[in-house]
Amino acid sequence: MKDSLIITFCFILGLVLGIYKFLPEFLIKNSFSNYALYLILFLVGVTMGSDKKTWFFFLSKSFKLVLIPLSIIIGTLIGSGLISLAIKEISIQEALAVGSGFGYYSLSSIIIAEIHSETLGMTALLSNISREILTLLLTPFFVRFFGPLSPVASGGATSMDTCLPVIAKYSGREIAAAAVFSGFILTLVTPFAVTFILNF
Amino acid sequence: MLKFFLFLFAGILTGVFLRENKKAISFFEKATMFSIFLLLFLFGAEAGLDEKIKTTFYSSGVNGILISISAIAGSIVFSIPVYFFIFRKKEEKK
Repeated sequence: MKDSLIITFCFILGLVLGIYKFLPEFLIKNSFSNYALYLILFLVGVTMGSDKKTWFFFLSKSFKLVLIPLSIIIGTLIGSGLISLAIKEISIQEALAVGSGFGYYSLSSIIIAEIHSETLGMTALLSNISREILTLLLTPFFVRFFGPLSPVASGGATSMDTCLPVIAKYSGREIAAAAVFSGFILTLVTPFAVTFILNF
Repeated sequence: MLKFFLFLFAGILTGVFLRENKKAISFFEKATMFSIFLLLFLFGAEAGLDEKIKTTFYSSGVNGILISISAIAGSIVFSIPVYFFIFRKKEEKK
């Protein structure tokens, strides 16, 4: 949660300084290069690769658990694709790219802003932040009406960290363990899915 | 796109090799968070400077929330049968 607040603060600080033109010119001209994005993809990769607990423990326990992130990916893409039919300014491809952030708003919005446009990057940021907030707020409701796995689906990639305490509380320990695995897989899938969809 | 994947794979492989080196992993985790903070700050700055963004901010927000609601609904619908398939079967066995 602390990291989410810092991330949001960094973005808002940048936004305000940008709007009031308080930033030195070299920063504006040189920012957001492809190289910075390559570096961040490498660093995210290192973090994911070093996590041996999640990788092997869950896969050895039950291969069926893969169905959880798989169903979230399919459901998210169908949901995002369908709503794009109702939104004039957004194409199916753009909606799918935004949706495939799976709540991982920091990385997905950075990638989208870099390889597509800042406007869509902004949409991705706000969409994926709202996915996290809605999960945090509505988990008790989801569990009651749609079952214990529903907040894991709703939280997407954030099920493994920010949304985990609330999932553990309302869905129980067993689902919380599945939430860590599912969130991990979705976190790993996000950069691939976003890049793939926008280059399709 | 290939370059993106190459960097990501290179990172994953490096992570796999460095698994036992706690100091290095801790350094990489901190570097990842710091880079994300920095890039989001720069993303915010570029967005703030872009005149077009100011006029599209509201619609970006509304569209973003609509996409997230629809994505949540879609994923919940698909999670229901998966729950019964994985967890209910286990309960029945018990």
